[in-house]
Parts: sequence; C-alpha cells; structure tokens
Amino acid sequence: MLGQKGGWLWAWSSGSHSHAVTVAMDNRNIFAEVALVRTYVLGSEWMFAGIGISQVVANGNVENFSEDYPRVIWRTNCATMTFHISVYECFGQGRWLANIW
Amino acid sequence: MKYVSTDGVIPRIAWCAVYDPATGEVVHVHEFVGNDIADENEHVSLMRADVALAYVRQHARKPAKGLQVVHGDPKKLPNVGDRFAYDLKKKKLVTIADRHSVQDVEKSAQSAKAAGKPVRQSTKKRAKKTR
Repeated sequence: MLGQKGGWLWAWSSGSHSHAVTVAMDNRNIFAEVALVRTYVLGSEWMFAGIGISQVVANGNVENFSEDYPRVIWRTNCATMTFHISVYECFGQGRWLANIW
Repeated sequence: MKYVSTDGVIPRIAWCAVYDPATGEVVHVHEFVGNDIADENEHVSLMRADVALAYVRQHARKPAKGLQVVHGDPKKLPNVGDRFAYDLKKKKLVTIADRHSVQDVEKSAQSAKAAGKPVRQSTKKRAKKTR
C-alpha cells in the first residue's frame, strides 16, 4: 500500500442538504470506504442521513451511483472519486477514507 | 483538521455552494480535493459549477432548476459543522450563526440525559425557536 487519505463530510438541514467531496486519485488503485459518524435530529419526526460514494472515474469510465450507494469500493487506475452525505431534517457527519495501492 | 493523509501533503482544496436564488438557501456544498487541481479561472469555475449542479440534479431531493452556484474562498475552507447561506442583499456566501452548533447539541443532550429527560424534547424546542 502506498498510503491513505481521508477527511470529513457533514451537512445540516432544515429541509434537505448535501455535501460532496470530489478527490483526485492520480490514477492509483484505490480501496475506498465511507462511514457515518454521528447524527442529530433537528425536531422532525422523520429524518434521514445517508453517506456513500456517488461517482467513480476509473479506467476511462464514469460510474454514477444513486439510491443504493456503495460504501466500500475497489477500483484500479482511479482518476477521481466523489464521496457524499445527504441529510433531511437532521445534522449528519461522516468520513471518507481512501487506501492507495 | 478535516483532511488527513499518510504522505503529509496538504492538498489544494476548492469549493463551491449551490443555492436557491429565491431564498438564499444553500442546498449543496461541493469540495474538490487534489494536489494538481487547477487555479480558479472562468473555465475551471464553470467546470466546477457544472459538477456541483450535476450532483444536485442526480442526487438531491430539491429540483436543480433555477439553482445557482457561488464559489467559496479557497483561503476560507469550510470547517466541520459550518452551515452556509447565500446573502441575497450582500450577494455573497455567508456562514450561518451557529444556532445548532454540534457542541451545543451535545451539551444539551448530555444535560438532558443527566436530568433523566428525553433528549429529543430539548432539541425539538431548540429547533422550533430558531425557525
């Protein structure tokens, strides 16, 4: 393994709100994952917080994910990866992590 | 610190926010992280705005129609917990006063727990007050 990098994602909402991070992976082989760290409900009976990988550009292909976002992924020759968190009526915080091979 | 890496290199980070020009509500924040990301110029700004709007079109519950993009100051990167709005009068992106700061919510949850009160009640009251 060549190294690792990671960071935070968070979103506040009184309606719906999202936060995405697109990371340049320099055409490395990448094993990436995301995790939800904490959420606070802001007063609604119904809330939602979801975290995932929404887009991968690797081997010249663009993969867009929706609904059932991957939370762990392995791709060779990866150019960029986009991690995201989306919330409704709550605060949500998560982290993304990329293992570089 | 919102970014960590084993190589110790602090990457360049650019960011932008997608907002509703009718209300100033920011519906999406998008960061771009990389050692070789380009300097901000008109072409790069448009490209980043396209990426952010494409994200909203594909993933957000709010329709992307009519939404606009404002670019954030690369010297003032978002901190964990920051909330943003577009000030329609000043025509700039502003950080919303932290009415629901993570620390505040944690403190009120802890004191409610210590007092044996339901935690949801205190956060519910707080949310209603600030709307």
